[in-house]
Amino acid sequence: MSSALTQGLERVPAQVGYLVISDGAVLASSGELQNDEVSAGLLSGLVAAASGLRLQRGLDPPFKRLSVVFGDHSLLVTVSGQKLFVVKRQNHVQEPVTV
Amino acid sequence: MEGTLEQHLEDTYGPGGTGRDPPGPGGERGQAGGKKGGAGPRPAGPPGAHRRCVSPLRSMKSPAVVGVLCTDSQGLNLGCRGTLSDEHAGVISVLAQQAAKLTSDPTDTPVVCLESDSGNIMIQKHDSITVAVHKLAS
Repeated sequence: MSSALTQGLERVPAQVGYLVISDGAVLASSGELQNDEVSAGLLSGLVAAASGLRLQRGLDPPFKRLSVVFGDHSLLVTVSGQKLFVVKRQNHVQEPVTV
Repeated sequence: MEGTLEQHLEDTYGPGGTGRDPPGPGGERGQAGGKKGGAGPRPAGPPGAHRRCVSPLRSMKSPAVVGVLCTDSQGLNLGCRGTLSDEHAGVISVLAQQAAKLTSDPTDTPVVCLESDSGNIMIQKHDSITVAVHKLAS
């Protein structure tokens, strides 16, 4: 069951870790997010809060993906089948141009 | 030193004002230097909040930007335009604060993006002010 949930996550380019969360509990994790229950709890709360945001046109839910973008990495969260899928990706670093 | 919050609200909206849609840029008393509307009331919020909110309001000039909002750490709406309004201030404030807990580096301020097919809502905290921009997909 675990591999069915995670095989797609493992193929995400530049991913350095992932989490699968259900009802605040970690179903699967890997890499830099291995056993990271703290982040799992924070992200569950973030998604719950964001789900309460309703714009005038009433999109339901108001987002397909929730991204938390830091300086060198991003946490990308999406919801499917009552589960949160979280991927940690390294941000694309532009190599300096040598003139 | 700034007056009380009640004084700010009364200056801005008069007795019993609602706080919706504060005056546009240049409305800050004593700061506009003779600009049109310079004698107008000052929006509520911490010192400098209005100046810091003017910049996101200017982003409304971009055609893809359909909403902006500034809020403080307690979810008080400091100013908004377009699709983002009073009712969104609390959630926006909470999202920025919760996202900051995902890192131990206090200097690494995250941008929270709510992405959908129609557009994105981007939220970031700048010192004590949280700014949200709603931008349509191009």
